Amino acid sequence: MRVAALLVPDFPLQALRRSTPELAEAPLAIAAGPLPRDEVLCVSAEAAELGVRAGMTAAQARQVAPAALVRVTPAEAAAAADEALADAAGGFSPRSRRHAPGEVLLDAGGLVPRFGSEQRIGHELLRACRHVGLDARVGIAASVGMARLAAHHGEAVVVAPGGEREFAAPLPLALLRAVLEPAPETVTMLARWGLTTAGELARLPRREVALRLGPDGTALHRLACGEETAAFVPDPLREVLREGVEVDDPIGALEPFLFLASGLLARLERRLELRGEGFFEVLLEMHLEGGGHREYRIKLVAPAREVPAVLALARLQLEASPPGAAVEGAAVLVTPGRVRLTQGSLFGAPLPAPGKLSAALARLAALVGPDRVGAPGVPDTHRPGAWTLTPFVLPEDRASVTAHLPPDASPVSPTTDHRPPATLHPVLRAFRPPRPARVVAVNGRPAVARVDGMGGRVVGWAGPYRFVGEWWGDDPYAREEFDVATADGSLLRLCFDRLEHRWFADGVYD
Amino acid sequence: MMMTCESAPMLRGLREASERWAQRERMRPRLTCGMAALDALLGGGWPQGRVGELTGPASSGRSGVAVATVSAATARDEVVAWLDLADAFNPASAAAAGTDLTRVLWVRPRGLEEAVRTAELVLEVGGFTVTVLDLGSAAITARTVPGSTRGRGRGALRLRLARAVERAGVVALVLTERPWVGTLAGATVVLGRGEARWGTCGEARWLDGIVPQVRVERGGARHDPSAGTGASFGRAAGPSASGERRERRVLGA
Repeated sequence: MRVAALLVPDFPLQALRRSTPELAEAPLAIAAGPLPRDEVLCVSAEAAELGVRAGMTAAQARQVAPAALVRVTPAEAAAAADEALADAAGGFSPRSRRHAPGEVLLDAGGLVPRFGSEQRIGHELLRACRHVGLDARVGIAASVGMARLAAHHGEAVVVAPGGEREFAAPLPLALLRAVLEPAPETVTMLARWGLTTAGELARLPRREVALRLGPDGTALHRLACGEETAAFVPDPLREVLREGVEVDDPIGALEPFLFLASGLLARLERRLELRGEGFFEVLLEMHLEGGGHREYRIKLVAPAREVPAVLALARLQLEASPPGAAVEGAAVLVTPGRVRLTQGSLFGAPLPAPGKLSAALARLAALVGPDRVGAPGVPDTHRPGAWTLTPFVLPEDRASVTAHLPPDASPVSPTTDHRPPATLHPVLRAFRPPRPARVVAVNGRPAVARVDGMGGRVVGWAGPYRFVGEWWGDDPYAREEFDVATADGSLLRLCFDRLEHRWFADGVYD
Repeated sequence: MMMTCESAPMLRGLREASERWAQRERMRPRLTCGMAALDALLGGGWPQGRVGELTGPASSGRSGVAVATVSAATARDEVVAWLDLADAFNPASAAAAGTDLTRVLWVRPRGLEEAVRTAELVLEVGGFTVTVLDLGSAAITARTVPGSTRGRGRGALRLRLARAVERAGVVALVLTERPWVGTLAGATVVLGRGEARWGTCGEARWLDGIVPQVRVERGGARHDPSAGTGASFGRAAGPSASGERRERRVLGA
């Protein structure tokens, strides 16, 4: 087995800079909490030049360097950075595990044929991490502990199979302590013994180490000997990606909020790209001033990685239904979907771009009403004239290449193809609602019919077609339909409603 | 008007420009109507990037021609849009005519201006190879609708539609009872009242089809696309542009 460990040094600092790019070159000191006595966890190079060190309290850091910015990394930013790191790893292997904040493990077995060497795997992993805004280190070894040790040791370290003990020997014990985090008393005992390197610990008999240091000591000894055997259990695949941000000054206007949202969407877009997926369903969560909360759901007609399209849909929703208060924080949750090519083959039919189509459908719904835009359908019912309207989605590609309809073929029904070439299929133009008709019937069939200025003496007819149904419900129907040709050339569909005893015209054939 | 030496080069230039434009129109790619006879009259089908106009009264077959075009497009796995100002689209009828409804975007705008705006949005997306704009009687009755566009306003709508179609490079069909697009159309097909064709089997009888009377007034297969051919099929379609009655040609008899 080969395990790769990704480690983001100074993770709280990198997470904050990732979510707040304007702090990229600021002298930052990240504290564990907001109180003056809270410990500084990590400092940027700019703050270190000013004299700030990790381990100081926040108050000490401000005193030593008044120009330094002492911040606490928001939980949203840390969670988003953590997930981004996991996405970077997930782009290489579906078997990955989030070991700790800023540390991800993945099963690197089987990747060598794709990349050529484990060194190449390491470099590509680092590139993927930079793509999502994180500077990481990577270690590849035969076990979880050794891979983590390698990542703590250098930027891209590969421990060859069988060379674990030799690799670990010169490493300081502090690195092993960073990996395994033994109890303080174990650390104290090792210091008393005068041990400084893993090699020195590995030369001691394990039984004696176990007797004196217990399980912590045993684990340290195994790692020093390159015999660590912890199992690698991957996390289940995540279905939702999340990016969030909190702002110091609540945002009360639409444009600044959309600017903030575009940053979140851009980071999500980079993570989706690693997975080969796109925005499919987006949930925009807003934390409002005063403790309120609003959510906006956006669904695209097909997965796409088009941030402007999602932003346009968000704008439409926010303009239609503003949150009602200033925004203190926001998060975007994405249910990804596999991005399809809009044109599956060089000779395939062109299709609308999913992102542009989603935005256009939203605009159409706003223009004409959401109940007047969609894909038509014929429901499974015998009720004449029934139809449905469902949200329009891009159709799936057909399994086989559909042959071009020859230009000299008739527009025929799927079941009959007997019409001569210049004959049109009778297409009904519906009257909505059906229009009352004045009909003179002889022996139960129309002899004269007039509707809205059309009609006259009936010169040809077909029918009656009888329909009876849903008599058990609230809206039964019982009708007789006739297709008639009148002397003025009109082709009408007439209907006699047997429940209301009235004649209607359902439409005209055109 | 006296022809002067100064006007001759200008007129020559205008003539050459007109011929170049006509040549460009003849070279424009075409999209099949789904009917061989009409394709032949139109020189291969509807011109892409131009508005095609189908005019005629009820039962003339203009909806049938539009559905035939749409059916042919969906059979090629393309997606189409049906902008239904007339609110007359019948899904069951279209499906029976061979249209794949899963590839149809159906929009029902409420007014002429809204319909043109809808067309602009759809054409801007791209990928809808055929867009049908069914105006019904709206183009004629617009002046009687309170608050509707008048005269110059309606001309602006036609121009907006034509420009949107040209930018998109696809086929847009306008269904009206009387010509509306006018000179901005790349092809104008006028239909008269069709002849019903009945099917029988024993005592059963059904409406099997419509044989349309078709005349291409603009964008025909021969000569100058702007002049039309007056070509037609179906029953005698009435006086042609030259005032002569055409010989009766009934296809499919």
